[in-house]
Amino acid sequence: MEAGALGTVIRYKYAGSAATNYVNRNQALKKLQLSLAAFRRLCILKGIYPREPKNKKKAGKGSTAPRTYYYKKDIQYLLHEPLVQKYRDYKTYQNKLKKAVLRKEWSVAKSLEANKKPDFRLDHIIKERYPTFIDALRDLDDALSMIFLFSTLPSLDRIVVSKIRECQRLAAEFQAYVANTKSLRKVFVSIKGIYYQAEIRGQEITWIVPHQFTQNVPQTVDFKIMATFLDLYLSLVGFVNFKLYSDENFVYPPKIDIEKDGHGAGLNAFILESTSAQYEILNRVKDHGDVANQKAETKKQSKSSVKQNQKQAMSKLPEKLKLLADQEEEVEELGDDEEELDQSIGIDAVDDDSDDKVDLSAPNLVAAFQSLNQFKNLFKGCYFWLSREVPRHSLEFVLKSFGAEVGWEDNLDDSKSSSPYNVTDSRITHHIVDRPLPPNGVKPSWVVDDRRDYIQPQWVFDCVNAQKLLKTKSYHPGDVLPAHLSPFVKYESGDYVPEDAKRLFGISAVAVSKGIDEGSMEALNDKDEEENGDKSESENEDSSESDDDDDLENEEGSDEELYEEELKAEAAGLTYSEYMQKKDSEKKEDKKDNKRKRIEVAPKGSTVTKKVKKSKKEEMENEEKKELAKMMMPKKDKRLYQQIQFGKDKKAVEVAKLEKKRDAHKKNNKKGKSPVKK
Amino acid sequence: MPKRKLLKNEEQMDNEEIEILPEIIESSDDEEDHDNDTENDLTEHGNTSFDENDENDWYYNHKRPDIIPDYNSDTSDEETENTVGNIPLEWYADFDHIGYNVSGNKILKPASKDELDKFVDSMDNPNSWKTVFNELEGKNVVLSKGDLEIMRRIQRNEYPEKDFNPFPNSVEWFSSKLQIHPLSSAPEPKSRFTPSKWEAKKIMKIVRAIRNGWIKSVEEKKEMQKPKQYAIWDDVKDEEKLDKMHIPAPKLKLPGNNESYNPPNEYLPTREEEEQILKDMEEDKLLFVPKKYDSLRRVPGFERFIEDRFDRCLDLYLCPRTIKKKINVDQESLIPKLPDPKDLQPFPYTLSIIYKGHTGKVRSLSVDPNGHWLATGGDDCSVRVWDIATGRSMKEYKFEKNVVNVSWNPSKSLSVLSISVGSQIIILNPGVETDIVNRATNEIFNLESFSESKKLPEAIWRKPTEKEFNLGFRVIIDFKKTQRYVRVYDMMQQKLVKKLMSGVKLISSMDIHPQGDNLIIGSFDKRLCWFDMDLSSKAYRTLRYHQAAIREVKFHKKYPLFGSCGDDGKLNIFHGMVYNDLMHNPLIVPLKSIFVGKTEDGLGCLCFDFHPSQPWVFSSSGDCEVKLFT
Repeated sequence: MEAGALGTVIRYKYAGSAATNYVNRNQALKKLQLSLAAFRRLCILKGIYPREPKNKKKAGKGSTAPRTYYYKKDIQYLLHEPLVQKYRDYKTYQNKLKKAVLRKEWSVAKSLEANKKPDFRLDHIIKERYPTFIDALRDLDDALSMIFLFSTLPSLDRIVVSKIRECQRLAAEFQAYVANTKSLRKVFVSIKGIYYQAEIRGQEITWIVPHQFTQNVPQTVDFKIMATFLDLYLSLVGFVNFKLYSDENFVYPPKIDIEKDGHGAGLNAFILESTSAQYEILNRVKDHGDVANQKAETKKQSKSSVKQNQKQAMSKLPEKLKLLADQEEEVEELGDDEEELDQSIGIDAVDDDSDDKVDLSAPNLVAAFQSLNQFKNLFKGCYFWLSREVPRHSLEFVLKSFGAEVGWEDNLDDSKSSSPYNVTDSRITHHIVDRPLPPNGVKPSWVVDDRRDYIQPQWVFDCVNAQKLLKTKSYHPGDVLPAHLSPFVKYESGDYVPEDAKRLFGISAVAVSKGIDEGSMEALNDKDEEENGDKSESENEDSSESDDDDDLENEEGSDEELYEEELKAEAAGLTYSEYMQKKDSEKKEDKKDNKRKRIEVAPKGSTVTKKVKKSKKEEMENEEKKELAKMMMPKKDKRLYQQIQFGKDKKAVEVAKLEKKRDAHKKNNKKGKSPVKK
Repeated sequence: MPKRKLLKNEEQMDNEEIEILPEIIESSDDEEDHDNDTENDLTEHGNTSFDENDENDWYYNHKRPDIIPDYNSDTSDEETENTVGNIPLEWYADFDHIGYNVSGNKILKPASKDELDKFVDSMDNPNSWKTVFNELEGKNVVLSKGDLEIMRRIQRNEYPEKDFNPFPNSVEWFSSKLQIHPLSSAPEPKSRFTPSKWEAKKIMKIVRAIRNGWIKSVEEKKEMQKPKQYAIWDDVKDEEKLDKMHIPAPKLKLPGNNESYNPPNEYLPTREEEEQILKDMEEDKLLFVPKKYDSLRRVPGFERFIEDRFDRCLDLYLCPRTIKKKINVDQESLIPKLPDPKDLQPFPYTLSIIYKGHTGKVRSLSVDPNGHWLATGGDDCSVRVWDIATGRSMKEYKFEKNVVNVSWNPSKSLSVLSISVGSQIIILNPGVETDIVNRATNEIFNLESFSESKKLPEAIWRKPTEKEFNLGFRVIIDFKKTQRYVRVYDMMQQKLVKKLMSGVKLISSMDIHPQGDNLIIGSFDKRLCWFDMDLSSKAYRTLRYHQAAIREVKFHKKYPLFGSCGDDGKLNIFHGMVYNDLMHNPLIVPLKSIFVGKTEDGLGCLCFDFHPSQPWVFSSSGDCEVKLFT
């Protein structure tokens, strides 16, 4: 203190914020007076997680022992948590109940259960953790995956059956929403399960659904922790579903057609009623153009004519919704609110964020919106038939999300079947089969109608990911399927690009803008005229690929060959334009070089073929210049540079490995094939 | 009152002999007495009395001794005369007594009868069949009739008591039968027929609570509850935002192509890779082995699905979170922007002449101040003087030892070459210059012939002169280097001016900028330091670009060039511009990196020198050659 009087400040060790901002777990437990289990439960529900202190020694007040640290404020925040009191109440309630039961005072026990049982609700936690709806959507991935998992679990003694039922309900509701609003974007069948990605309010929500098998329930998993998470996720998804439904003016919870559900109708069993005030809104929108406020008001149910008009309602609703959406668009455009528009447009806008910002001029926006609409109605007008062995729920969900009509085979006789139409229906365009072909070219028994396309289920998923209707050529039953690629991979320069990626995604940007509308139109008009199924699609492809392929053969491999050549040229150090010119001189034909790949970086260098050598020299010089300049780099930059280079080299090694493997496989295939041909 | 009462019923004892126990103090002779006794005892012993008239009850008809319920009433410690207790009686076998009575006197052993006596006794005594010998007392005891009866019954597996009723009729004390007589004759209290005030109060309290809505019925409660789902986000205000310090959980990595059920072939692991993956799986890093299925129907369920999810759950609430900054720098942007070397010409960049002739490594070379002659010396114990323009070897001097250094006198008017060989320094006039110069030189040396060399015992003057010539200053400053520092001396005042901290371990060479304020140091630990003497005693720039030790650094006398050569066989030429105004730091730009020759025995480019007037550089290479770059 004397020192203080003299004007110097005494600084105690570990009194600074680096030490006082953190508390370790034991300190937290002591402060909260909770058991470890209760604390963990609370942490899960409240979303409180340990932090990695910047300086462990300071945070540990000199000790560097491995500990978990929490933010002090987080723990203080828990002190006022109503749930803590609820836990205590529950404990006393349980003690009382136990006492009553042991004394065989049944009436007391009953009244206790009826009156004194604390009611656990997590509403306030949901509100705290997700202040806005967007926040909730952002965090929906884990919640959905968990709920879809639990909805497939068998009823075990470790899991309460009612919760499994609730999971099933919520999962089905969410799927019904996604299918009806057509917000599904990507599907990927992995060996773990099926990944879906939907886009809701501009947020990409990805979840995984296990394959349709009984789950292997391991003993090592602590279901208490899972159950706590599940509690949180159930209420979160419940609220999200409510919001989603009410924003689309559907009644929540949706009614379920029990009779149909009993026969396993899946998504068809859901009856999405619109709220009665919807028509009023439409009118009001026209008058005032103020949508948002009135949406919230309208949540009354209409109880009339549910079952009779169900089918009509189902078919009309999307149109109505679209109408409504269009109205909204107009309104927002009037308000010059570009950002919101951006959000509602979806994929393209999101992609734009990652790349350079493309200017959102009006024609661009309109085009993007149109292409998105076309993508949403990818399978519109197609009638699918799912045979018994294909994963029906997943396919039905995907197909319906893109506007297809789906019928399926179930084991019931036709009168009881939940399918809207039967196998012999003449409208069916695609018949999805996953069976081996009988040997010796015998006509398989499941071929009902020659006019429809028989395809394997992968075609559907690949079409969705490619955002266009693909040729069905190599997807017929018995065919060797092309590789199924992940739509989630973003190929950057230096990444390994599988060959099929080009076929699926490479020209997708062009295909979306040009090919699909024609294709879908054709599919609509020429449905009955389709003879071999390939024709319309191949035409469709042609038109999408501009004039390039006119001279080339119209085979499937043409794209790939072209691409390979280009790659080779690139490896040889030719710029894209040079390559094109070289080709021109060879073929003496004019070609448009508008098919520039995303992956390729085409610098605008010298353009004359003869100057290749000179450009090489220039390159060498540039390289030398770079080397010289590197000498002058400070140590710090040099290290950073080396780190980056290290990462790049590592990637390059991986890529080289993959390429080597690919070439080896190709060689093997050729060797394997040639004797067969002979 | 008697202290203890015993079990034996006196009535049944027919023989006086039976009276074994000494303290039978009281016993009742007939029933009436007994009844009285019991009735009297009732109050004292706190026993309940039962109606004796009840004919059914065997218990009360049956005569049995009174039991005084105190702690000694148990039969197990029935008192005997002998007080030795429960010990083996053999211990007293050798004594003539068998124990002690209560007062401590010995109880003598009874006279033992012989077998004959015993037999006679058994014949004589009619009770002998029911006589038992009590060892403890040392007496014969005759069993009573009752005892025999009990034994017999036990033998027959019957209840020992003759009249024991195992199934007595239950007595309905509190039965449904209405009793005529009240248990107590007290009048009924008032509270029995007036409503309770307190109850009424309590009820009123509840009624009031219900009326005011403080207490709710179950149905009401259910109605009161919020619906399970409701519009929770409808009244969101803009201020409600997540905590600033909140770190949202990172999303799970999205699956790549290798996770596909039907991936391209190149993604499938080879056998070794698969083994590695399986090893990792054992170490509980949750992974999967990429696999290819030819159709969707063949895809099995994923075994680790729940574990996968569970792990994610654990990560969410157990993993410490921290924000790590990802390096998001364009790699190219790290390279400094320098002026184009083309704009900084002239500088040497191409090989023009190779001077061949030496058979060993060239250790030292020097260009004469006029720029016509080049002297080289090396490991082949020879010194050669070359014509720079033609590349001809004009003179050659052979020595016995390796040549360490050759150097021209910096004066243009003299032609003096100094050569250090072993521990000697040889100064000579090679005689390749014009006559005037030769003559002048000879005059200085005052020698008759130029070709003969003069040996000096010590090398004293060489270094100072050179330095003097190098620095055109009024104050002569000498630079001396140790292995780590450079010390700057004022030679006039003979004192230390500055000590330059290089930060390197072993200084190999040093050169001073012609203007004098800057100097460069090359070191064996691959570094080149540029010192600006006006700035500080620490290096202005330290460059580390050589792959091996730096052998020599030098400035060009005329052009703003400097260079360094090293054991990696490289000669690097830099543009080193020093500005006159003090505001500008010297500009250093690397111009050219020349590969002179391959390294041999770890020795690359050992020495180099700039041409005094042209932007040329001479350099020795590892393979016994000297090269000129222009």
